[in-house]
Amino acid sequence: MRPLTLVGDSIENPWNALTMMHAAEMVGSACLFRDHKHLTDAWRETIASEAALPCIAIGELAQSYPAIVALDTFDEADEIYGFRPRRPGAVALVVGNERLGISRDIRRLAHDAIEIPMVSRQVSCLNVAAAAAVGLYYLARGGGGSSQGRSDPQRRRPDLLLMGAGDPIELGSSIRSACAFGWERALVEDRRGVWFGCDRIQRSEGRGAARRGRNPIRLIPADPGMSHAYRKVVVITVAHPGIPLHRTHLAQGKEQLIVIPDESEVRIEEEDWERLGRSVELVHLDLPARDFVYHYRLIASIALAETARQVGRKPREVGRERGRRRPVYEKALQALLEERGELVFLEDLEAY
Amino acid sequence: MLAASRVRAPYEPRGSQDRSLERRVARAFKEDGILLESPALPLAQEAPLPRIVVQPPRAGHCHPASKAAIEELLRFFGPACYYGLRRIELVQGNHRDDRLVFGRLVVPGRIILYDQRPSPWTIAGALTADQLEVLCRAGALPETTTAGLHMTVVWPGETLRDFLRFDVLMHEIGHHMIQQYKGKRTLRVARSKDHEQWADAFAYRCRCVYQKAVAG
Repeated sequence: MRPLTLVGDSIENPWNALTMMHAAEMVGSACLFRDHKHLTDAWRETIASEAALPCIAIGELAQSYPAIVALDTFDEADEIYGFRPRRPGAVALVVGNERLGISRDIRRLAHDAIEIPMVSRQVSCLNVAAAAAVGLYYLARGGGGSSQGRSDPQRRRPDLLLMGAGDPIELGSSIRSACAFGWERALVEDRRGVWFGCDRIQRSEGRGAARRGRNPIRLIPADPGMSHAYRKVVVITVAHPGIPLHRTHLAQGKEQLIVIPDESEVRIEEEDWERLGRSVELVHLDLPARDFVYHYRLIASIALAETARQVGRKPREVGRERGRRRPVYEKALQALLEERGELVFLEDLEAY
Repeated sequence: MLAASRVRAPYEPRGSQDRSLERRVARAFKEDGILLESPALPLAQEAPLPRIVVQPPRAGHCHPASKAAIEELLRFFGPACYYGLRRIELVQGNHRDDRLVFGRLVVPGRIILYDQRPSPWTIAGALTADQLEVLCRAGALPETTTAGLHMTVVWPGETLRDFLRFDVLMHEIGHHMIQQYKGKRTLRVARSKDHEQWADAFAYRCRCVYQKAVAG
């Protein structure tokens, strides 16, 4: 395998930086940062117990890495599926700030530009650590199959079950990834109560990570004891051996259920998988490293990216440019109550 | 800001009232001792109003500001305010929208005004203090009922019509003017917050000027 290094450019959130380091650990690569946004100070203040933030200057980046690959949403970027760096030698995968993208000087320096194809128009980017994990996974694998243009990708898209997440931010970021990759609905088995019926802080953290304000995905609560009648169930795991993820057919439509369990909370061997469907298959997400800090969003994003690759997407219409949406100014009032229904007790109703 | 002559006659070709050639000829004749009478220029016609399209309102709804009321307002403020506007549409609102949507500017130059329920309005939920202030300033009488779950808004007299004319139409025209006179008609030229503030201030100034003129 070619030496691979993850470089974070202008990252602002130290927790994202930490998760990026863990994502790099997953594929056995190093992680460096180009600090523009006072990340070092924020790192020192919030994650003091961890080691010092490894930084790199742009000159050093240019000298040390013969192949610099920029991961961003450029117009001329190649899809990450099936991509191989054109230049030999050590590869630096640069990911940028979620809002601002990769800075202009690194963009000029980069030898290749790649993007993770997004289906959703509302949620058009992943969490930076999740994007880095997807990028590292495909670069570490070295190519693989490319994405196919399909006239009816939604018919090929399987149902999704996000199982037992223990952290609202991890679950929220996974939901964001699911929406970005084109899922319109997902089942959520919320065993730890981090999404449905949680307290206000957890709720706001999770919803913020999921970008729920503009994320239209429909979340269906799934009870842990509930039975389902899927024809085929695919459980994606990193801890247990099974069929490699990229060799599994993950685009069998609505009769198939993709289950992504949070393996820091769910014990695969103790679960009754038969309740979900007739045929259950354990699929192994093969990562180069054996010991790494488990983050649900990273594993879920890689699994969703691979499924989205197999599902394919509609080919972009030839000759149709991505148009800039014209501004619209609206005068409207929004009532404060969000819920359509109210909980009314019988005695209140009688009194009314 | 564009020249007043341009605003008055937006569809005239440039140089249509250019008198330089006429003056050169007159000067040449004058050197020979002949004085020419200068023909009076035809007065420039008033710029045409933007097209106003009216769609019948939904059942139980109405267009509080009629086409005539809108035309009267546009004529009062003159071509400087509607220069570049292409059309004003009075259309049916979307019953699926949970919000109270009054109007919308689709850049460049298309203003949409939605039909509304006649007074009084019953709103499910509560409005924020800022929203209530907007309604009260326009003359509405909001009232919270049933343990805060519903709100009734009464619009006495012509207040609903004036709300639509000033706080919605002139507000959207304010947005339009920012876009139009910046010369970048299809790009956002200011932060949304600044855009909204300027449009609000413009609508308020228009209301004051109109009320002063009517009272005077």
